[in-house]
Amino acid sequence: MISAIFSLALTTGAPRVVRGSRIEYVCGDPTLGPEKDLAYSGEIVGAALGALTTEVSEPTLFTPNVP
Amino acid sequence: MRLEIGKFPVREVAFGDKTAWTDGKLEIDRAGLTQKILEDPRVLSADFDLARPGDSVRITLVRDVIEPMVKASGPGTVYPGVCGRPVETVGSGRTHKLTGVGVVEVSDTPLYLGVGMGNYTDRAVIDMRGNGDMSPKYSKLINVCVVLEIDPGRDVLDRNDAAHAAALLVSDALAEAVRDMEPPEIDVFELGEVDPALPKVAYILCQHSPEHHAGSVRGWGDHLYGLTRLHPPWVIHPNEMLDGALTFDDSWGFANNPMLFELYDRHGKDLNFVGCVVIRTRWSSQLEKNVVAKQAAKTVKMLGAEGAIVVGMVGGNDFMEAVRTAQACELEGLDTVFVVQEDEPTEGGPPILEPLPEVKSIVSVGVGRSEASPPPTAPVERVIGRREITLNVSTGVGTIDAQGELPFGRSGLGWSSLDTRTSCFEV
Repeated sequence: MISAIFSLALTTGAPRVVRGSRIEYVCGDPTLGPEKDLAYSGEIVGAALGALTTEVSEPTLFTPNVP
Repeated sequence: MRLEIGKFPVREVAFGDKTAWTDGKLEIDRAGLTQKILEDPRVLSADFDLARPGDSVRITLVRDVIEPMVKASGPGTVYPGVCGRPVETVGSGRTHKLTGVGVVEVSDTPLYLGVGMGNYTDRAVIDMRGNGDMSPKYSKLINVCVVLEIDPGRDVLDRNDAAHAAALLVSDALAEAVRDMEPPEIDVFELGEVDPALPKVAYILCQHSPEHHAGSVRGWGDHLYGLTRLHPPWVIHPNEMLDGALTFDDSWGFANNPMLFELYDRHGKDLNFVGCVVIRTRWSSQLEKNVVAKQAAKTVKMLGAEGAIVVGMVGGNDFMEAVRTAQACELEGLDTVFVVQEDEPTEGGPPILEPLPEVKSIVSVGVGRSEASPPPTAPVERVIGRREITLNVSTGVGTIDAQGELPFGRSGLGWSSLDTRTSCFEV
């Protein structure tokens, strides 16, 4: 689950949680400009794919890099 | 800060050729007030109507209920800041108010445009027989309804400003009738020195900011001295709230907040009420929500509080700052009570969105806006406002006849139920 409010996702028991950006714009940050926004989106999606292939035993947070 | 509130009870309301209060009877110059409202070119039409407790009447499109009050002495203007009113600090001197009566602002003006709760007043209903969302307290008032048609061609904020300014004009005019009279009853509010051994308690109010839906720092919503935007935790004296510093769709309720009266009552008896802190909810990142919660806890600790009451009458997104504030207060070593409504029991989740282990003491004030549990509400003889109620204001989907049977009744209990002493609140 990609979530801007990742603490809630963790306390409610989602197994794999990716730290998103903001509630109104979860996968990126338009204030960074188009190029960095796209790169940030890529980092978030990449972190999500990485999370899917990672074994977890409890709710776990995955933190993408912010360009 | 010492505030005297002079109360003029209203037992009877009638339209007449002047606006005056005489021994419990309020006469309203409907024609004169209509003319004054229509001096604002943004207002296309204005009508008055009366709804009395027990009447088979529903009021729809309720944007606010305002308690008529006026400063008889002391600085500032009641309901400061909103609609361009002065922003001098209120809460001292003498305020005169008409009790038992509400000015109901009725208009289909949306709060903002776009997806979300912008058309939330499309579902706001007062049923004068006591059933329905806003009814438990407002059905006990004699309601002076101001039904407004605002120029739809104007900017949404301008329309909101016009509707609310018109309702405030009426509220001001009614209260003006008693400004220079001697009130039959005076209440005094002052947080005087008390036994230092008593536990110090702060009251934290979590208020929604419309900033992110509205896409504007001027969005229409909970006004604190007229400001609606997201802001850091703000220390407020309870007297400021009694003078209407906090307003929006429940201005009467904010000025008659039973939590304030109860804390005042017990100040010097079994606790020391150190004041209020207003925080904003609907920050949009985890970091922002966390910092607001932690700063709120720090602020009440700096006020000397050893205990905190955190009231978050909100769910979903808005819930996060509230529950995190209660958690942060506990982590700061304050004994904390979290007062909150529960989520719909039909959705299968926990009764509150995020149960946190540190938040050990919770007062539930019922289930908000439940369509599942309360009995349906029987039809009424007359509707003031629009004959249509929107069931889901987030999506705009589903409308029903406002005069017919409603599929929902009284919503939970609501924070108004906290007070059992005044007749205006549901027990």
